[in-house]
Amino acid sequence: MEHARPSEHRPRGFEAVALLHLDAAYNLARWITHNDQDAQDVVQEAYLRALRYFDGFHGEDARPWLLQIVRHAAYSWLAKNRPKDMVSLDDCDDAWREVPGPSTSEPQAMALRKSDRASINDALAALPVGYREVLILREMEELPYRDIARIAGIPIGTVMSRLARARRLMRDALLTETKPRLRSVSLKNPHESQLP
Amino acid sequence: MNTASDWNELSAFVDGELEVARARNIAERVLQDSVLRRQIEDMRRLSASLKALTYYYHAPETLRLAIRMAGADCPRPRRHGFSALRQWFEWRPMASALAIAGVLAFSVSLTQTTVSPIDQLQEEIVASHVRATMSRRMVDVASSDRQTVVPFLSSRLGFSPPVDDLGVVGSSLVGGRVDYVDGRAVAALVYRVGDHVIDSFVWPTSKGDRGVIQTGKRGFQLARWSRGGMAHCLISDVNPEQFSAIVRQLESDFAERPSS
Repeated sequence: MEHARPSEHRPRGFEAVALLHLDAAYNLARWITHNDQDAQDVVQEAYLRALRYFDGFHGEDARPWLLQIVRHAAYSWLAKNRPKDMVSLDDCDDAWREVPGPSTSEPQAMALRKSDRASINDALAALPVGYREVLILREMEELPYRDIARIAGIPIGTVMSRLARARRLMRDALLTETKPRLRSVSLKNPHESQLP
Repeated sequence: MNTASDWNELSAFVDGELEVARARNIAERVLQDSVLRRQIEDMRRLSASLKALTYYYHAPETLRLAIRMAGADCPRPRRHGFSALRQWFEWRPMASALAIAGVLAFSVSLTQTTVSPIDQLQEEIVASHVRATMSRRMVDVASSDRQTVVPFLSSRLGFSPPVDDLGVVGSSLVGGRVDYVDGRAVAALVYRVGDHVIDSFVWPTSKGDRGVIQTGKRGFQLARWSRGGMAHCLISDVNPEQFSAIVRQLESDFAERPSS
């Protein structure tokens, strides 16, 4: 299933293609929205949109094509419901270059070894969405940079620098996690705090 | 290696996405530069943790059903699928209510089965494999001699795990460890093929023989089968073809062995 490549066959209709990539679509939407129901809504909306353009789709790799649409829908949802999450990333920002690089004196290997499932997931969830999405597409979906570039709508060079930056942020988060410090708190759902 | 561009290169190098000339340059420097080696190792480790430990959210059954229904409704999916999906979209509040009612009705029995036992087992195997390869404690007994490894494990486990060669050129037995999977102590035999580590988990089972099922999960290859009262689960990050060859070899070795 995971190795099945729809591009090798002519798509047998939308349903087959859609179902094949449903987990990937849902996982991406879920990590962007942080919520089950919203992720389902996003995927349904994206699939509705994808279906509309399906006639124009001819046998290319369906996965990046579909994920691109899902990501777009998820971002529309963010813009509407969590505008604060839509931080624009300055990909030319050089400030972090001044931060010392990976030094061997740090017991970072130890730190990474100790980091458990919860802290890794917390750290990933706390990353700005632009970094989070490239990391998800790379590490969970194992997509090549070319596909990630297409899905996120950025040049391949930017995929490279964002991934590097994302890994750096993850590493730093996991390193500080091992020292007793304040933990990052996930953003509260604005709807929850509103009175009816 | 203290600048962003170096870090970028290293990250792309680990992903196998660096252009050939630069990748070769790093590969050459790695030989003399132990600091660089450590950095690459750390980057790989982070990548492996992300692969193994992050939650992969599988699409809920209600969503899958909705998409499937939209497709099944229509003989010509391109046009009619659209309206079917839209129809479903409009009826979604009722569908959600029905789904919730269903979930409530069966919640007692369903709470335990939202994650299938096989998925759960595979997750545990992946986690155990990654934890062991990341830590220094890959083996409790380090020996390539099965006469040393088997008695060590059987004295701690109360069963004697079958140990065989992988039958692949360049492979060797590294040793064994006692691990904990699926709520029980199991034997984990550790092999090495080139740079890759292969963990072979073995434990007694009361279920009958089962053929090999091979799957990929989070970048690892997994295979499980049962024979002669022993459940086997093999995991590694070698390429799928090589992995299949090893599984075939091991499975046939165990098949030829008279059950003890």
